Amino acid sequence: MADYLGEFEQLVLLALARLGDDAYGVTIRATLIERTKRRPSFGAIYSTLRRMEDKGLVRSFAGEPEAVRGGRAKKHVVLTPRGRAALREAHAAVVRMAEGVVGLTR
Amino acid sequence: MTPLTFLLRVGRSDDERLSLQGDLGEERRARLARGGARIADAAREATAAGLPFTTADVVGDLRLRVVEMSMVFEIPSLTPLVRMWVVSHESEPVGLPSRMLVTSPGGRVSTRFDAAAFSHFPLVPLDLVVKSGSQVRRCTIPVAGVRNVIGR
Repeated sequence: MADYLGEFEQLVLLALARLGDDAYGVTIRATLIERTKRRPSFGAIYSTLRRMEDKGLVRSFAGEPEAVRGGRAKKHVVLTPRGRAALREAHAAVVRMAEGVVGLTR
Repeated sequence: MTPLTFLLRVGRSDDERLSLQGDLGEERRARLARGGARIADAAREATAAGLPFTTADVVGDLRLRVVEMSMVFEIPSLTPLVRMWVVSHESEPVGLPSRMLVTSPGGRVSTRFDAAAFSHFPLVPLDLVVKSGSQVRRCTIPVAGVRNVIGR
């Protein structure tokens, strides 16, 4: 059975796909703000990432502590093959639903 | 541990909490370095995240030269108000008084410190006069909860 993705989950996965190896809290949030004009909290992003990691859609690993972060390490996040497949399917579903609907595209 | 720090721990592993605090700290520093942020907002976020927000952080993040700093400690439940001001000056003439005197009915503590001494203060609540290029700005961050910024 395909993994169901909520809207915010899709947005976060898309941010991960864009960012590649540079995906962690700050860059994920910056990408979401830049592209969606929303300002999600770090708490919302972390909760979503944790939920998707539990589902096997993303994988995280700790980086090295950095001075600019007060000696704290980044939590890097990457898409898993399962996450990429779920994202592809979710996007395809939206495209199929939108097909032929008048007034959606500019 | 503050209530907010405690809340930050709820439902999170230590790794996740530390990463989250690191993200908040990194973003705060970047925002302050761009110069587009209110110090009070950054301080409030830092407080909410359980991060220290030191005078040295502010000065470093803003990349500013400190001309004068003063810290105010208030005990609002006491009458008259008890205040302690700690003032630091550089000798550079910037149109500021060379000494700041604070008068409170209940008493007064006034002293002078070398600017480097402020790196030892754990919290940022302060009146800050900073110089960036030819601009001199005054910021006020009250002690209790970082309520306001006046006259930036």
